[in-house]
Amino acid sequence: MAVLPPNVSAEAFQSAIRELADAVGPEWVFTSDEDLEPYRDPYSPMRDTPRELLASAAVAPASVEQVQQIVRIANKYKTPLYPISTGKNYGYGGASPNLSGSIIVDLKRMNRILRVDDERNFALVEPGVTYFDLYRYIQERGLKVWIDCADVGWGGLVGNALDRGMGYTMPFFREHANAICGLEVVLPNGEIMRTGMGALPGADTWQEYRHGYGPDPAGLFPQGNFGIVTKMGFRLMPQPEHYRTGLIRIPKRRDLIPAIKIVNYLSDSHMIGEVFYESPLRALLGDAGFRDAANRRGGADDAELDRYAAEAKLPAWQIELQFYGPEKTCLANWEYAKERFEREIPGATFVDGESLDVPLTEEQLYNPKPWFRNGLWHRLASQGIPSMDAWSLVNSRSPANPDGEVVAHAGFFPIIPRSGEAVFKAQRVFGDAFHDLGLPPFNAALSTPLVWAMFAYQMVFPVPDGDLERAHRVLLHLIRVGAENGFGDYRAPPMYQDLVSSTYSFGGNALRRFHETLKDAIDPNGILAPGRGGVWPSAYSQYRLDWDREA
Amino acid sequence: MRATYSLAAALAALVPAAAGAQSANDAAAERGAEVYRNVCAPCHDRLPEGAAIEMLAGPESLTLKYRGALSPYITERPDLASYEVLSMFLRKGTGSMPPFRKTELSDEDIAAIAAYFARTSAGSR
Repeated sequence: MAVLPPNVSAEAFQSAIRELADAVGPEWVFTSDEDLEPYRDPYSPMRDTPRELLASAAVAPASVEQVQQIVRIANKYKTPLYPISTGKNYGYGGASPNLSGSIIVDLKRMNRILRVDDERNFALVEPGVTYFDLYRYIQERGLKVWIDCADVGWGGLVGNALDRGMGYTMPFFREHANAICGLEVVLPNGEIMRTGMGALPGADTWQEYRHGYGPDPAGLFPQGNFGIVTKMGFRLMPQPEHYRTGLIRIPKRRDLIPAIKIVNYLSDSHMIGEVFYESPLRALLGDAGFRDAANRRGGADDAELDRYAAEAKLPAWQIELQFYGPEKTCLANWEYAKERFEREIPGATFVDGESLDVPLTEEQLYNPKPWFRNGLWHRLASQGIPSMDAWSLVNSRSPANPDGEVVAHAGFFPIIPRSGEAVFKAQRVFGDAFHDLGLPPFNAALSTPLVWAMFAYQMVFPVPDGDLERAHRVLLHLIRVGAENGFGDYRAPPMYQDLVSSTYSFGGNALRRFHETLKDAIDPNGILAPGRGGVWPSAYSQYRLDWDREA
Repeated sequence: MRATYSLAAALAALVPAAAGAQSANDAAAERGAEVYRNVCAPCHDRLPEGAAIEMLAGPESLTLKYRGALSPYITERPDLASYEVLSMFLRKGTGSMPPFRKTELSDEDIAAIAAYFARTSAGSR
């Protein structure tokens, strides 16, 4: 498995490794196959193939100064680096690099929580801090702030935000890159830069006003490769007093169009948290006729599905709303939501859900019969509590597949307009994409947006053993078909970042050319994460993956 | 850069050299309890009475795998109270559990978990 960085001799590599060991201590430089095994992506569709992306070594600094030394050594020997925070970005490459032969800069040892303020509602952390770490810190001190958690709590706040992960509470906090407020970055030349108010010596507003003065480069670092982030500030949600849920059922398929308009208003007015959509018509999937109707090439016939719904006395859709805040405003917002739906969608019905003081008791949190759907995977996340509940999504066994072996998982996350019309179009486009490949249907007409903050339409594919090639073909096809229909993927594993980047092609790929002009200016040796986000420095541009050519 | 490692070395690292084997085991088990809580428990621990097992990936999967032949809770497994066995699973990964890097879980941590499991699984089979 030994792999060297491109264009670096074995002798030069060994010299670089020796200097790295001097910088961080020999016990924190890893080069053996055994030690590098956990830096492989265990879920890569390219696992154990010549295409698998492998590191040449890993180095684990404990301080910003050590990060600076590592960057200077990398420039000296022209060895590409690939920084990771907690390395748990599974489904998006884990700890593996974009360019084989890169040296992983493992920032897990930099795990200090530098500040949490529950009066001004922010935190400042290092990259090795996990959601679990920050939650314990907050609980031990009785602080009254919530974390907007990623799906799995072992992930890091910094890494997740840098890959633009999403969470489950109120809109402002759910897009984790949006909640970033203040960065400290080691630049490719080894200098330390602070963004926003962090650039003003003596300012105590680094985590309160993100922009400072002049152009704000903070947006270059998520999904980018312009520096190694060594500190990150976040805005935090104040712990609410109360939590309420409510369920709305709407009878007809096209009712989703006005429903989404109302939900947009509620969400953008900060009246509701994460929204859960579902189609109760899933109960009819045992009926072959209905299954065919829900998976028809060219899209479902609305009237036909409405007939099935009417005969079964089922609503076409149900929408769960979550409210946070004082008890009175939670109730008032729910009452307002009901008024709007009642007025604008004939036949809408309502179920009052839970109305609970925060923090919830253990019994309330782990209620085995939750009122609505979010009771399992997202129950803890809806209360700002990190967990591993969502790991069940990729579990190798499930009651439906007790002997199953899942060896890879990958997601496809296109961004879709927040409208019912767009949802119906996406159902048709991706349903047909599965037909194109001769794949089993996924009940396209019942699929709903999973993540509401940006209206990302999420699809996750468990991949059976021996079927990695199929997963690869599916992802390539979905990325291309999505882009042809204006649905761009927002996040992808390294193997697919070049393809995704190439679909953002306005002006002859003007955006990518701008990124790469900046890259060459800021990082002339191209040592920092070459290829991340589809941004290749000139020094390594020949490694850009072109799946069209390979096909 | 890899150092040869053993359970004895790991335990020795946890207590002063002069301390006895029992103290070493106790100290390791105490530390193992903390590591278990922070690293393992989110997927593998018991949930409160009546909670849905689907909320925990570990016991859900191991229940289906062993079908009653072995406990789905790793603290009840004497066969896991071993640095060598735990290292095999933790450094290479198994099923849907990915491998853990030394920066996340040191060799001393793994030895401490093994010592903790020796305590928690005593009397189990």
